[in-house]
Amino acid sequence: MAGLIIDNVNKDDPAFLYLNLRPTEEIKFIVRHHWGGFLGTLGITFALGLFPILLYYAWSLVAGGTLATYHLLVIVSMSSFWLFLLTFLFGSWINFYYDIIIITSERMINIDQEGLLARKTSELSLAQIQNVSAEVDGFLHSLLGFGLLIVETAGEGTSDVIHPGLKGYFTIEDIPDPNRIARALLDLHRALAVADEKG
Amino acid sequence: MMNSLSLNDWVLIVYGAFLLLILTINLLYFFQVFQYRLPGDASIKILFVHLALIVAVLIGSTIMLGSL
Repeated sequence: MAGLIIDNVNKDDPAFLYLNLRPTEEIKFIVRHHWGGFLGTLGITFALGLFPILLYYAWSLVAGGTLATYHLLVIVSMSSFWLFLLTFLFGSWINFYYDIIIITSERMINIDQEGLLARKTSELSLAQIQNVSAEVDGFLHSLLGFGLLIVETAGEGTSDVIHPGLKGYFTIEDIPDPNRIARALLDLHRALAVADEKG
Repeated sequence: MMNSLSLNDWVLIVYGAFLLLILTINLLYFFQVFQYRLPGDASIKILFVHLALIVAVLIGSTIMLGSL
């Protein structure tokens, strides 16, 4: 999980200025989505990238010598298609890689990259957490150790899925080692509650 | 012959416009990477791999077009 869960963070780095951390607040974890969640996009893009080559060979077998007339069109089409695919893949990767969860000693900040120059940040006070659960479901998820993290809250959530009896829901997919993150969130919640009682 | 040349010219003009669009989108993505990357992450490495692939496609297609 190296690189996916970062737990030694210098909170004074300029990259975290926009979080407006309080002086006593510490960054406990930065969690990125597991790369296993990107394998589907990578596989489909790779298969699509091979498609024009296969098409070219199939066409050359059928059309034979007449293909030479359209060489310019073929080269330009292939080049355009691959440039489009590479740009699509890079955009998808940015959407995937820049979805970050920052867990501080007081808050959970969910940064959701939503395409070109669009970002959504939602924040949850750890004191509002009611329940945390982790789901690792399926062969690939179990093999690579990633899954779904569900945080039930007393406040507003981000999930569109309606769950009866719950006010807010944060569901975050492709989280590496979700059980560890769930445990850490509950520990931080308890530590906040204890500190609150002591006044 | 005249028609074929004219068609090729149009193909190259459309290709040029497409390249401009794709390169502009990539420029915005690069801006986004430098704006949002965190210290020590893999952004710059992936950006270089992406750039290398884009340049490889551009150089390859230019060489092939030049040899026609």
